[in-house]
Amino acid sequence: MRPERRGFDRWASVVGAVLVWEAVSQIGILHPAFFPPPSRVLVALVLELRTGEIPKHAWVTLTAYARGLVLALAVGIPWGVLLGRVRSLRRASAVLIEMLRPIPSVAIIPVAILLLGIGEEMRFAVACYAAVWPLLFNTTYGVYNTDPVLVDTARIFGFAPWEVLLRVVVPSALPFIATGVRVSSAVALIVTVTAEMVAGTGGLGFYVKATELGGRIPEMYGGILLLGTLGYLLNHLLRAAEGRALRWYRGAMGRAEEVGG
Amino acid sequence: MRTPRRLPGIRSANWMGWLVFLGFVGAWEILSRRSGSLYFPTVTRIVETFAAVWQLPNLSAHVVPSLVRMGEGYGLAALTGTVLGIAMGHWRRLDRFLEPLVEFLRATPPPALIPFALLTMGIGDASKVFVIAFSSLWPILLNARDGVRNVDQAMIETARMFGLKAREVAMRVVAPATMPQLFAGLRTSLGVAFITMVIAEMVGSTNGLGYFILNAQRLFAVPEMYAGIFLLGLLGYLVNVAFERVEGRVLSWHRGSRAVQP
Amino acid sequence: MRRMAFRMGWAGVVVAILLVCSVSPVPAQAPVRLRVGIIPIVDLLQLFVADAKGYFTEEGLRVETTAMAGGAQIAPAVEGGSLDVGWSNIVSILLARERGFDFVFFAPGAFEVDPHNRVHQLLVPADSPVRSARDLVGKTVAVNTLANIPYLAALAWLDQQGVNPAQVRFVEIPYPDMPAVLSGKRVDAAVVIEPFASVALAQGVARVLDARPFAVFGRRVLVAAWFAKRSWLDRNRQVAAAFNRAIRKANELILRRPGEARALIPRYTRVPADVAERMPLPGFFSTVFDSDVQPVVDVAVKHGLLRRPLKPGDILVRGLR
Repeated sequence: MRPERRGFDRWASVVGAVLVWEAVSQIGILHPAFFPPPSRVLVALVLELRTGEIPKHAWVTLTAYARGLVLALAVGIPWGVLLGRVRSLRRASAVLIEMLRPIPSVAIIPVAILLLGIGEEMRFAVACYAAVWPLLFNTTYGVYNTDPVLVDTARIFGFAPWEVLLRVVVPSALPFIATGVRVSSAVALIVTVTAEMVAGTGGLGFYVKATELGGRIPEMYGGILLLGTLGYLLNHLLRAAEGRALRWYRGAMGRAEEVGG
Repeated sequence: MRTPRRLPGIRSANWMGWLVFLGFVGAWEILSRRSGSLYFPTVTRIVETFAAVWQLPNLSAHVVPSLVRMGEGYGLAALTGTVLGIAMGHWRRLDRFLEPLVEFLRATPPPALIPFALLTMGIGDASKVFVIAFSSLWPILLNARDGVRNVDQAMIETARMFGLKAREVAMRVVAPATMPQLFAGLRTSLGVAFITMVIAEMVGSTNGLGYFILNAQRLFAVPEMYAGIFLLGLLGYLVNVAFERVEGRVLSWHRGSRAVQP
Repeated sequence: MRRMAFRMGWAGVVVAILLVCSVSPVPAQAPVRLRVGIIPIVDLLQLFVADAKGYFTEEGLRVETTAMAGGAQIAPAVEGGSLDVGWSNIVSILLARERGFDFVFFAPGAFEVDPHNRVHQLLVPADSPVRSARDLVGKTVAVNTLANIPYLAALAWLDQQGVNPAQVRFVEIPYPDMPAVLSGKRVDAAVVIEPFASVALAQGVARVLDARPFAVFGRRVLVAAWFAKRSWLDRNRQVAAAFNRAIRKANELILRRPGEARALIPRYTRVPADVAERMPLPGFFSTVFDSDVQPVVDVAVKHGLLRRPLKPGDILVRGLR
C-alpha cells in the first residue's frame, strides 16, 4: 500500500465525522447556537489558543494526569502480579476489591475533598483510584494465564523465583498489561478532567466548565475537542512505548533463552 | 498453544476475603468515631440508614431504573464492542480506518457528553443509556481487537495446514485464544458502565441511584449518601458474581469444544 | 563630642532594636491568607470587584480563590478546612443547618429584587402551548437542582396559581444546558438564570411564561451569600469582619459605578464582554434582613424540603463590622 493512501485511510473516518457534524449543525437539525458546527468551534479554539492561556491549562491537566497514571502503574502492576501469582492473596482481597471497584470517583469526590482538600493531591488521588482497576485486572489476568509448563521448566533450569517472575511471567503477561495501561491512561485523563471540573484553579476540565458557565459554547466544545486530541496523542505515545517495550522484552527473553540453553 | 485459563474471581473468595472486608469496616468505624466529622459517619450509623432507606419503595424508585439503564447501556456496548473489536482485529484496514476516530471518541470525558445527549436524546432514559453505552464500549472494543490480534499466527497457520476450514480456525483457535482477553474487557467495562450510570443519572434525572447519591449530597444527608455508595458497592459485587458465572460457563464450553480437537 | 556621638550611636541602636521588635510582629501589616471557594458566575461580582480594586489587600487579606462546580463541592471543603469561606445558595445552608452542620452566612451576597434585579425567569419553548400554570399540570419543568431556591420558587409559584406542585414533574438540568433543552422542547418549562435566559430569548427558542417567579418570596430575597463554619468565625472574627468590610465596599462600587463593575465580569468569568455589559445583575446590599430569608424558610417548610422551621438568625451572623 502506498503511504499517501494509508494517510487517507487513517483520517477518512475523522474527516467524515467532522463533515457530518458540520452538516447537522449548519442545516439546523441541531440548533447551531447550542451545538455549534466544527468550523465555529475551530475558530473559537484558535482564538483562545492565541491568548496563550490554554497551554497553561493543558500543562496543569497533563501533570495531574501523569502523576495519577504513574501512581496507578506503581500500585496496579505489582499488585496485579501478586494477585495473579498468590492464590491466598487473591482470595483475601477479592471481596474488598469487588466492593470498592464499582464506586465511581464522582461519588467519592466530596469525601476526597473532605479528607484531602481541594488541591492537586485530591485530583490525582481520585485519578489514581479510578485508573488502578483496569491495570490491576489486566495484569492479574495476564499473570494468571502464564503457561505453568513454562514456569515449571524455568524452575527446573534453576531460575530463582524473581527470575521466573521477570523472565517468564511478566513477559507473557505483557500484552495484557499493555492493554491495561492504555485503558487506564484514558480513565486517568477522564477522571482528572472531571475532578478539575468539580474543583479546580486550572486545567482543561476547569476551562471547559468555566466556558460552559459563561455560556461560551463554541469555546467549550473547543476545549472538549482539545481533550480528545490530547487523549489521542497520549494513546499514540503509549502505543509507541508499548511496541518498544514488547520488542525489548522479547529480545531480552531471547537472550535469556540462549544463555539458559 | 495452550488454552488460557479463566481467572477465578470473587467466587474464589473465602473467609479470608470477608475477614479483610470486615477489617476495612472496623477501621472505618474506629476512624470515624475518632474524627467526629459529619461527613464521616460511623459504620453503625450507615448500616442503620441503609436498612431504613433501602426498603421496597426506594428500591423500585431508584435501584430498578438504574439497573435497567445500566443493563441496556452495557448490553449495547458489549454487542457493538465485541463485533466491532473482532472485526477491527481481523481486518487491519478497518482498524486503520476507524482507529483515529475510536481513539478520539474514547478520550472524550463522559460529563462532556451529557449536554450533547440531552440535546439530541432528551431527558429520558435514551440519553443515559447512550452515555453508559458510549463510555463502556471502549474497553470491550480494545480488548476484543487486541485479543484477536495477539493470537499466535503460527497457530493459525498450523491449523490451516492441518486442513481446518476458516470457520473451524475461528472457532477452535481464534475464539478460545481471544476469549480471556475479551472477558477481561467485558469485566472492566462492567465497572465503567456502573460508574457512568451514576454520572449520567446526575443530570436530567429524578430517579436512579446516581440521582439518589447526588441528591443526598446536596441535602447534606451524609449517611444516606454513604448508604447509596454502599449499595453501589454491593450491587457491583453481585453483578460481578453473576458475570463470573456467565464467564465460567462460556469459557468452559470453549474448553470443552477444544477438547474434541485431536 | 566623641563620647556623645558614641552614646547617641548606642541609643540609636537600642531604639532601632526596639523598633524592629515592636514593628515586625504587627499582625495588621502581614496579609492574612484567606482561602475562598467560588463559582465562576456573575453572582460573585462583589468578590471580583473587591479583588480587582484591592479592597481585600486594604483590609489586610490575601484572598486565594478556588473555582468549584457548585455548593455540593464547596461545603465539604469548608467542613474539612481546606477552604475558609465559601459561596452558597441559601437553601443549601438551611439544609446543612438542619443536618447539624454549623455553616452560617457572615457576609451579604446576591439578592433577587423586583423589578430592578430580576435574574431568574420562567421560560417555555418558543412555540409552546403553555400559557399559564394550569397548562403545566402533568408536564415537566427544569430547575438547576432540587435543593435550591429556583425550585422552591417554582413550587410556590404553582401553589400561588392554584396548581398542586405534585402534579408537575421536575427535572434537574444545569443552567448552561437549559437553552438547548428548551430549543429541543425536551422540557415544557424551565426556571432559567441570566445570562442563559437572555441567550434562550435572543435565539428565539424560548418565550417568557413569568418574568418574575421569585416575586412569590416578596420584593426582595437573599439568593446566595458567603458562609463559613461558626467555629471558624469564632476564632477568626477579625478576619471575617475584614472580608465583610471589603465585600460591602464592593457593593457600594457596584451601586455607584455599575459600568466599571460590569467591565470586570469577563476577567473573572467566561461571560463575553458584550453580554456582561447589558445582562441583568442580581442586587448587592450590605444588610440582610430577616424578611430576606423568612419567606424561603416558609416555602421550604411548607413543601417539605425542611422538616422544621428555622429562624433567619440560625443561618445569619450579623454585626461583623
